[in-house]
Amino acid sequence: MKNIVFSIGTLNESIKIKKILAKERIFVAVVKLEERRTRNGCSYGIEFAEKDVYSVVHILTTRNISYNTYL
Amino acid sequence: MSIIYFDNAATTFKKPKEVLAKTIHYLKKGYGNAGRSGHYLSMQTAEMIYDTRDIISQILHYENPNRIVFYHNATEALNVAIKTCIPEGANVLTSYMEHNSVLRPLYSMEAERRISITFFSHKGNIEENIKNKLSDQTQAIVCSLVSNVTGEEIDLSILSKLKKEYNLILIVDASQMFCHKEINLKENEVDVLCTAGHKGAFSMQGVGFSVFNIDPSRTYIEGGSGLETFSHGMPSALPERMEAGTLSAPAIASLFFGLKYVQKIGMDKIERKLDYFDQLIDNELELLSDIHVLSKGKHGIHSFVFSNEMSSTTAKHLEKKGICVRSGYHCAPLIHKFYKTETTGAVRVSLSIMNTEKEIKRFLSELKK
Repeated sequence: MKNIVFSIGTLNESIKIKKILAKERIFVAVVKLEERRTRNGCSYGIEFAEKDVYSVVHILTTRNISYNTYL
Repeated sequence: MSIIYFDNAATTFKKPKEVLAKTIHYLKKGYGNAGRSGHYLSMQTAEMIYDTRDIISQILHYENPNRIVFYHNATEALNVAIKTCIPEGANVLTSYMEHNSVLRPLYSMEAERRISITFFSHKGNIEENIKNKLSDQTQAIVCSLVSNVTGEEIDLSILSKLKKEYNLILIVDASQMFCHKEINLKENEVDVLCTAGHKGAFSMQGVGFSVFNIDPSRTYIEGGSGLETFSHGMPSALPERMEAGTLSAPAIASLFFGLKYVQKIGMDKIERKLDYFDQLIDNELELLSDIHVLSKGKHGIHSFVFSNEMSSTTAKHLEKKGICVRSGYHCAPLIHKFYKTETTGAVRVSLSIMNTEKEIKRFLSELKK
């Protein structure tokens, strides 16, 4: 199954999002982003199963949490 | 003879067994460097630190865990808050009961002609005392919620009300109140709350924190943050902006377990137990002759001095009997001037919920001798 990575930026914001999603029973991993996916050095994001993408987008959008999408 | 430890306002000595056991287990299990690497040990450590921010938020009724910034102690937290949140040229109100962790950063800024300081009395009607000292230049109040010498309290709701009414920056030192009494940041607006972990929250030494409800005007230290490596400046988001360098994961983990314990016991029960201890001590101290009690004890803190005796003499006598108290000036010079104990100092007895009634009775019995 394909995974999707959203770039969030900071580690603590990524963890916060992980906890928010876990409350909605969506389980994601906090990951350090690959260098090619960062613009200015180290950065963090969340990785999750493709099947959850619409739910994740909906929850983040509802809460005004910004992210960048990487496949 | 077992030791009776009554110096808990400095550091709680006796930690709850489960806090010790869980902290030791955490240390044995191992930890990585949070926010530096992508491997599971680093990530687990980062999550533990986040969970500690989260439990602090719950205890303080504060909604955003990521505005909680960790430091090594309350002194560091206060230095950062005072030096990054108070604007140049401000007149700052503070009280006579302050610890040097509030006074010295303020004095340092005053010496550099960056601020001026005005003192208000912590006795009587606090609201009127503060209002009487307000001027057009007043922009901030920095003060402790509880005196580390007498346990006297400055009502947070009054400070918060004045902050809103006069549009002031409010920075509070909650070191002697945190985990001894409920602090509600939802009901009481505060700009920065600073405190230590190693007192009421039973953590190891080496961790304190600030709740930043406002954005500091600048960083205080700069360095590695694990983010935006190629930028010259620190990241813009809290907490990373104000947390340069490696955090003390073991100390923060012990704080997490300490706070879990506090949640389990309940703040009401903690407050009631300390109130009961305070009554036991107050009732007996009143009956002693040749004693100057600085103020009726609160939050488990009592200070006194015998006539014609240095406080250190009394403390040494008690130590010989296995009772650890603190004599001298407790890093709080102005309250000793206020109570006219600058020559003798005072004997401070400071309790924790880990103390027992039996210990208090033994102490009182030694004092009577």
